[in-house]
Order: sequence, then C-alpha cells, then structure tokens
Amino acid sequence: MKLSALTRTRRGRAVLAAVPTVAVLGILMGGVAQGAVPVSMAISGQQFKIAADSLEGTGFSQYAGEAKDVNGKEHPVAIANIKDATLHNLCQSVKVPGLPLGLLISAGTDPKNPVKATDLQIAMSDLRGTATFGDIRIGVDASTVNTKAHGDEGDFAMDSDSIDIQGLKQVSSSTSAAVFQLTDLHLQISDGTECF
Amino acid sequence: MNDENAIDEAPGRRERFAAWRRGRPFWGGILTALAGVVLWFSGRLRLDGFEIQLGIEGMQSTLLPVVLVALGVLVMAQPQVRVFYGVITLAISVYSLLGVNLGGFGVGMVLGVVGGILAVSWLPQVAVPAESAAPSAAAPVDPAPDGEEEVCADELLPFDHEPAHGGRHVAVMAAVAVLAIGGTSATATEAAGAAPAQVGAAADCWDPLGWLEWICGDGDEAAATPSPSPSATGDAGAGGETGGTGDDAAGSGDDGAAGMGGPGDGAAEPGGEAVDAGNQSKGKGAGADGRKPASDDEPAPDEEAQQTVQDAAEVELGPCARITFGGGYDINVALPGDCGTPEDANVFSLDGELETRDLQLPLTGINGVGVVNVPVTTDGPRRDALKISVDEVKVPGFWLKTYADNDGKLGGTVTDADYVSMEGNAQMYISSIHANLPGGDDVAELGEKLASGASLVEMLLGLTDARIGLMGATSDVQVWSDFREQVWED
Repeated sequence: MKLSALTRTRRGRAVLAAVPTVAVLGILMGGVAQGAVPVSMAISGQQFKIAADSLEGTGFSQYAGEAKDVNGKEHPVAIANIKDATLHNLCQSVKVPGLPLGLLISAGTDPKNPVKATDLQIAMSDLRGTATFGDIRIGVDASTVNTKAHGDEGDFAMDSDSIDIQGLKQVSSSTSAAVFQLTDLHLQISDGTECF
Repeated sequence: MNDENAIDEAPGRRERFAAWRRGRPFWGGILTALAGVVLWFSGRLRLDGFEIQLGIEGMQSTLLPVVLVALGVLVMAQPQVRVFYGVITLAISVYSLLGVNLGGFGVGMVLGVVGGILAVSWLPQVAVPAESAAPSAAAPVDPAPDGEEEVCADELLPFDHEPAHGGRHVAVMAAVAVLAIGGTSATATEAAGAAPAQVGAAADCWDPLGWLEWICGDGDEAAATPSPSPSATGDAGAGGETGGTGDDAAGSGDDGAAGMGGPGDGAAEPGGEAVDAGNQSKGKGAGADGRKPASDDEPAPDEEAQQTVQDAAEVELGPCARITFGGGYDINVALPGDCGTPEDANVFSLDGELETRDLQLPLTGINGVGVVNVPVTTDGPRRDALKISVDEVKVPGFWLKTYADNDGKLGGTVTDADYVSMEGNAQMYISSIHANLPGGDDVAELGEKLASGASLVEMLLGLTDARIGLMGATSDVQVWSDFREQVWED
C-alpha cells in the first residue's frame, strides 16, 4: 500500500498516527511494569497512603516542613528524605474524598524484585512501623542534616546513614522529586479501598 | 454526543455550533484538553487540602498538563496546523506515562493519545452544499477557518474527503487500541519487547480495568470496523475472555495488596500515652523505695535536704546546674549556663520533649556523664547540655514531642514507641530533667543517697515519669519498636 493511500482518509491517518504511538507506549509500559524504566511521581494536595512490608534505605533525614493549603494557610508536615530506598510489597492508595472511588497501586510483590526509589521526598503526617536506624543523629538542627535537601534553621531534625522500616504505614500529603522503578506493577481503579 | 450548551437554544444556533464543530478537530481538541485537566488533577485531587511547593522534578507535572490544555484549545482554533499540534499531543501524552504520575494514572494518557490521534487524523468533510452554505451565511462568528481549511486541505490532499461519521469510528477504535495495549502492558510483567505485538484486537473490547463500558457498550460499531492496530491477531484469544490475562495479574496484585494491610494491624497502637504513671516499673532510682520507707514524719520540705541535693548536683554537674523543687514536678534540673566542655560535632536546635517510663541504663557501660557546651541555632549561639555516653540504653514507653517554628506558629511531630533502644556509642544530650521522686516529696531520702555517693543524674533518669528536655541523641544503631509518628500543630 502506498503511503498516499493512507494519508488520504481519516482512517488511514489515524492508523499512521496510532501505530507508532501505540508501539512506543507498549514498549514503555512493558518497561515500567518490569521496573526497567523509572517513572516520576509528584503528588500534592491530597492524602495518600503508602504501605510496604519493608523499606530499606540509605541517606535518610527528616525535619519539620510547611505545607500551604489553598487559602495560603500553613500547616506543619514532617518531610522525610531517603536517597535510595528498596521497598518490598509496596502499596499506594489514593481515595477521592466523599466518593467510593480511588486508585490502588501495588508493586514489588516478588521478593526478588523489589521496588526501587531514588531521591524520595515525602511530606507526611503519620508514619508507623518498626524502624532500625544506622548512625543516627536525633535533634540536630534541620539546616545541618546530612542529605542534599535540608530544612530551616532552628527546627528539630534527625538523620541517619541507613534506615530500615518493617511494616511501614504512612499517610502522606505529597511526594515530589521521586523516581520509582515499579516492578510487577498493578494499577487499578478501586472502590475507595485503601492500603490500610 | 449532543452539545449541552446549544440544546435549549434556537435551532439556528445549534446548527451553527454543529457547523463550527465540523470545521475543526473538535473531539480531538476536547479530549486533549481533558487529558491535560486529568493529568493536572492526578497530582492534586483535593483542592482544599495541602499543597507543597514542588521542585524542578515536580515542574513537569505542572507544565505538561498546561501544555496539553493549550494544545487542545489551539488545535480547535487553528485546524490548519492540526498535524503539528496532534503530534506534539501524542508525544507529551506518551511521555506523561513516565513524567506525570503514570500518565494521570492511565486516564489522562489515554485521553491525550486518543485526542492526539483524532487531531492528526481529522480531515475537513466534503461539504454538502446546503450545509456549507448555511454556516458561512448564518455564522459570521468565525467563517475564516472554515474557508481556509477547505482550501488548504484541497491543495494538499485533493482526494481527502470522507463522510462525516468516519471520525467516530476512528475515535472508538483508537480508544480501544490504546486501552488494549494499556491492559496488556500494565499487567504483563514478562514482555517489554513483545508488548507492541500484543495489541489486542479492537473488536474484543479488552477492558481489564472495567471502566470503559461506554466504549464496550458500543460494541457493534467497534466490532464492525477494522482494527487500526498493526496486529489484530496476537492476543485475540486472551482478549476474547474479556481480559483474561489482565484479571490473572490483577488477582495476584490484589492478594499482595490485601496481605499488605495485615502486618501492622496486630501491632497497632503502642499502648496509648507512653507515660504510664500507674505502672511503677522498678528503675534504678525507684529501687530506693524498698530499703527505706518514706519518712512521713517530716512534713516540712526540708531545706537542708534540698541544699544537700543542690550541693551534690554542683559537684556532679558543675556550677551552672540549677536544681529547683516543685512546680509540677518534685525536682527539676536545668543547665542554663555556659560552662561545659566545648563540643562542636553536632549543631542542635529546639529541644524536644522526651517522656519515658524510665531510662533503663545498663549497670555497667555508662562511659561518662558530663556537661558539654554545644552550638545551637535557637536561644543563643551555644548552650550547656548534659551528655550521657553509654554503650546501650533502652527507653521503654518512649514519647517524644519535637518543635518547629513556622513563622511564630508552633508545630512539630509526636512520636511514641513501645521502646527505643540505642546501641553502640550512644550519646544523649539533655538540657533539663523533670522528675517526681518515689514516695512523694521525699527530698531527704534523695539527699541521703547522694551523700552516700550515688549519681544524681543516674537516679533521676531512672525515676518513673520523668520528662526530659532532649536536645539530641546519637548512636550507631537505634531501634524504634512499633513506633508511630504524627504531626501536630497548635
């Protein structure tokens, strides 16, 4: 078939546009699902929950931060930075307030193939689990923590070379600057079911 | 697909709108703009909630949706350059999978791709004479693009024209094809390279997420139309089961998600308030109780005993230590001065408040108790702190409240835990201790113990219900067992 035969009709043009798009999408999606292609996540303005069987990370710091709402009012949040993190059995959920509608993402279900995240920065309001820190410093000034990102002078902060959290449960209000390698990705529209 | 805006209006107006709509890739533009909106909100669903400033990385989640909305509007305003706008739309939509929350969690990306395909593939229809006459005569609003478009398309592609409803077929096919590959790849963990070959047959309406019944319901139209995708074969079998593959993968994902909710549930709350005054655990200081009953026959607060304690404190902590009695706690130790040994390893900030049932210091392994002078960022450039060096320390009933100053508004975090243990070269920096003596107001007893050589600090830290001004703590290893950290604000 000649190219001109394709460009002449709407259908032909649609095929011309769709084929390369769908092919590229297919490759990318396969890569994302395998964790070969990292994806960037930036969420703010809504509460979402993260749960994982375990999180092992290096380069951890945490300090107080401020989050602004729409009215310009500031609310305190705790900002946690993790330079490199490995998560097993990750679950992320977002619920649309007031509706039985949400989004549930699970990844890293294969123990040999955990989720990897780099340069995580999470603003959180609630964190639970059992944590083991290596070379930890509590109480240092937020402007002097050992990570690239740091907080304001005068705020209570902590940092550690390594962090290991078992049974992680976290309520976050934003994540930024995070690059995820999501293995065994499964994304579903849910009825508002959350990770915990 | 009626336009609600015009439905109540006079027929002439409605026709004019329909003509205007036909003169441009209307649905392509609408879907593209919608994709931008969806991508935008995938980052910010709750408008009245928090919003935090995003860095450079977060920029693309703001910029790309805005660009998509602009493209949607522009492609309708300037149908002549629809191919350019459409291709940009496609490229941005595909990239949004990586750049913006998995392409607006799939939805925005699909809308953008379908919109882009519609925009690229749109062609002006052969004008039925009556129809083409009507808009140009009746609609002086925007006659120019129509005319231009006709000319331009005629010049470029003389045989370009096609009946009107072809566009709808294309839309459905494009949507189904994109969804099919979405369903395949998002659940296929095995096939990166093979993914393009797995484009499902459009006719099978593969809908693993179950959220596109409006397209599946349109089955006749979709099935009757040849698929635009390159390989209609591939997974037709799997697709025929209405997403058999997708559901399998979904099953395992659900299991994982369900299992995940479990582990923390049993552990739940670490026993409410960490400090349990009723629970008189026998710390070292509390051990004093057993040997000598409280001497109730001396009701007056014995200033002599207080003096003894103060003297002991001065010997142990230097001249800067200030011991006071009463005021919520039986005994208070503060270090307001500047007379400790300088130490510059760490810069501290506002104190946290640490409450604990007691500090379980090891009988051996206390490597040193002393006053150091450390740099701080609030309340002066330096201040004194009580530094306790131990091999290990366990803090049961851990409760720590930290402060941050947000332009005069206080906030911070509260952390409680079953216990916190510090091991290996542990140092605690303490600015104050408030404690209640066992058996009430028995300062005399404390004085006696101190006179016999006991360490005031060790005794105080071992007391139950102590509140400690914690400047900081460092250790090689630290375990927070079953902790929960929450943000508080005034």
